[in-house]
Amino acid sequence: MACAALTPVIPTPVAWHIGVAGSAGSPSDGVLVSRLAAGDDAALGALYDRHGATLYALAFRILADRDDAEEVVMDAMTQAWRASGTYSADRGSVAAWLVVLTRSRALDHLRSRHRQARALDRAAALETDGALAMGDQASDAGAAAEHGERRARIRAALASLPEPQRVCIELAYYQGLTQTEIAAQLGEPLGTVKTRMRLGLLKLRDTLQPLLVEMLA
Amino acid sequence: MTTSPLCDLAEAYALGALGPGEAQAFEAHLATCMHCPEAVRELRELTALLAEAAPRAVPRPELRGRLLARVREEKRLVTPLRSRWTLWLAWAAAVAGLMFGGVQSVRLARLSWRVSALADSLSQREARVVELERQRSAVLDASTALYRLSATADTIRRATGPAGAQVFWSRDRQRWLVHAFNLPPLPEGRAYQLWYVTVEAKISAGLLDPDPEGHAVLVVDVPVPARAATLAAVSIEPAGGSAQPTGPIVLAGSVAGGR
Repeated sequence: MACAALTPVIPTPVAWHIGVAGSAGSPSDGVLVSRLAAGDDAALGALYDRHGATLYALAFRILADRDDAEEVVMDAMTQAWRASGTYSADRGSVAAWLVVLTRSRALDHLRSRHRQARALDRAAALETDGALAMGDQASDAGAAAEHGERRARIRAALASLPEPQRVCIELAYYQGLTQTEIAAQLGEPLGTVKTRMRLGLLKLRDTLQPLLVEMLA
Repeated sequence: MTTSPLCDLAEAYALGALGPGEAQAFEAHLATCMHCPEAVRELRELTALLAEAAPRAVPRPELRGRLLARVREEKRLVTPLRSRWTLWLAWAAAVAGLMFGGVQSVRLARLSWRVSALADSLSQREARVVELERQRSAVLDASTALYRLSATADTIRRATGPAGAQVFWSRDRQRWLVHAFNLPPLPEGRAYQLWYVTVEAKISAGLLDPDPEGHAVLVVDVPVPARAATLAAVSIEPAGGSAQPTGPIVLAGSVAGGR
């Protein structure tokens, strides 16, 4: 059931593992978080090694600025460190907890920036670069391939949605817009937006069921 | 299986796409619905998966080191001082051990450790409250006016928001209480310096020393030549400050209009 933590063949300064549950010799996310609560900063390093790439990629997709994205990841991980005592597994996976911390900080940052349109343009430009860049780093080929495969699967699931549904979800996810704001931006009735978002997420949930089962186990 | 119209909001709620009113209504619904909490939990995991759909991007390698350095520094600052209390209570525990022996002394030792940690935390907080009271009473009175300094560029900020400062000026006591926030950390050898700006001169008010969160508080008596100040400004100077501003001005605002 677990996604194994893959070590790259050629050691890199940071090895990007897929850590959901632990594999032989490497502690699970839950264990690492309980170590955080005990003040073990090496556990924070391990969590960063596992999840940092995803959190940074998300922050960067939202903010399209390297310094801002790095600061958001730093602040989110610092908050995870401080609030480690409040995490409990019945609220969800550690990965989801970290993503929520990161995404909410990134969106706060975006809102206070008053430059959403520019970020959209830059992010749109980066989307194509990102697609080309997927899986092209030979030095951590193993981890990148595994990440790339999961990413490809999730992006395929998104791409399989009818475009109106996908657009609503992406506006909410990467720009933090509410349904009301999305309706205003698209010039669509609120009810239409609500239905599209709901159907789109339900379809994604069904398509990505195998991956979800792993995270929730 | 939908039992309430509010159940339909679960997807949008998990995505954070509800307005505040709807979100509150849904949270109230969550407490009573049999089906939604599990649905929200699953949908939250879905939003975590969506994070992996973002195009691959890699932070600079230094980020890891900076993160760990920050939390180690926090650890160091937060560790309470145990000296007096621990010694006293450890002595009491030892005495109890001699008198009652075995299990009781272990229990007492554990209890004493916890009490000492709480006592240290409490005394730290009390000291902080006393300090804040002192600062507040030093400057707030009927003549106090409040001014606001703003960041001079969008880059002067932290993730929590743009930098800024509040300046409380008591005209009766000629004293400033300055509270600056969201100050980004400075490189080694640099410091934030506050200036009274009059028509004729820029007079130093002192240095601002931000904490890890970017907050700094300064209480100063306003010297006679500075009492005509119409502006306040914060610039970046070499550590230790300068006689006159040499570096970029990062915060500025009007302080004119008092009596």
